[in-house]
Amino acid sequence: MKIRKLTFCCGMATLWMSCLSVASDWQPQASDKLITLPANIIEKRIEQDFSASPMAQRLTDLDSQMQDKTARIAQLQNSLQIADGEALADVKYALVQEKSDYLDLLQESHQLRKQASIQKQGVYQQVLKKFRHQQTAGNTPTRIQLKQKQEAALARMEKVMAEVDQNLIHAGFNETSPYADEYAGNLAQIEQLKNAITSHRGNASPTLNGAQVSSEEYLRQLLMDIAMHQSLLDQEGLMLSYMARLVALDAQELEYQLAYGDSGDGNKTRVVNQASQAVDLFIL
Amino acid sequence: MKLLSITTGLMMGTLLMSHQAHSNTLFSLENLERERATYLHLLANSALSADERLRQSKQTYRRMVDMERMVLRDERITQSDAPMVKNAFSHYELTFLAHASAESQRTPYSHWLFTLNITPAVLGRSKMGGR
Repeated sequence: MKIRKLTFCCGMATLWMSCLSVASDWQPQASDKLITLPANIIEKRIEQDFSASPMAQRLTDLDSQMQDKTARIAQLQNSLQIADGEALADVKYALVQEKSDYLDLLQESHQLRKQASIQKQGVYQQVLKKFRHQQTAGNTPTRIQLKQKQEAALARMEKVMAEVDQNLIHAGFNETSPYADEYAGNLAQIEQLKNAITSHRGNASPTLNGAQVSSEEYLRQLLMDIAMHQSLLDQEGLMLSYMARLVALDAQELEYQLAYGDSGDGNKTRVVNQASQAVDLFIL
Repeated sequence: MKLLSITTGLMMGTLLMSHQAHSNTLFSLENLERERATYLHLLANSALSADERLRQSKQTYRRMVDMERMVLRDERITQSDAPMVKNAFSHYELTFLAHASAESQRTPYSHWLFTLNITPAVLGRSKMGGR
């Protein structure tokens, strides 16, 4: 009866977990505001958002429950060494029950981590897509051509600027125009400001293994990390299924033990009274 | 919290400024076109005396020089692919008249006529007649 209850509990746990997935949800979005942030800050922001989500809270809760279960299992395994008779059967039952509960928690944690990983992957892919779109949005072939023409025209104009200024002086304009004055004055200051922006910490490129990389490269690295994490989660899923199989075998073994006893007596045919054994009673 | 407000405020300010700056990306080019049209009109205006024409055209020439430099340094212009921009950069000789004429060692008006192939020889070969 106890074992049946155990199996029933395992089945119920699966249903319960699908209900929980709604309560422990996380729905990250790659908003336009997020795209404006540096790549390393995007990562921090997403991690921060995840940490504050019901999903992350449920994971923390599951971790804590699993720690308790691990301690309880270790305690029962110690009791197993010293128990005997009826107490031993009780300990074995409790151990299977605790292992089953632990696996339910581990499976829920595994599913949540997998779901979080898939959602993070989705967000980073959206961010990368929007980032690439942003990079190429203003660069249509026509605009690139126009830019090139403007640069060529500016280079051509710069060659005759001194000559034009000379023409202006000949025309009686001994002083340069307000625009030319301001422009020359601002030019040096603009360079200083540009240098200050380039060397500003807030404008620093994200780093990977100590080397500065572009935002796009950083995002691609994040996606690679997630792919690696998902691969490890798949492996963990396989381990989980083997552990579940072991617990099922333990439960089955316990069920047989309770039904047929621990010793091999169950295999022996019950001794029945036979006529040959009673012959002595009659001939003496 | 205060710091966040400041950052947001600054970002909003930058956005507002860039929005205003992009409200008319062709502003400097339009000004140049207007200034050049005025300059050519002045030089072709027979109603003006030679002195008055010279005086007015000098002022316009100076403004035109500044405008041409502004247009070529204005990065916003190439953000637009309007026909006006394409046309301007396809005809350097006509668009940047002050600098192109200095390059060709001609007066701006001569350079304009020369670029449009209105030369004494062409004029000499032309005939009067109804269209």
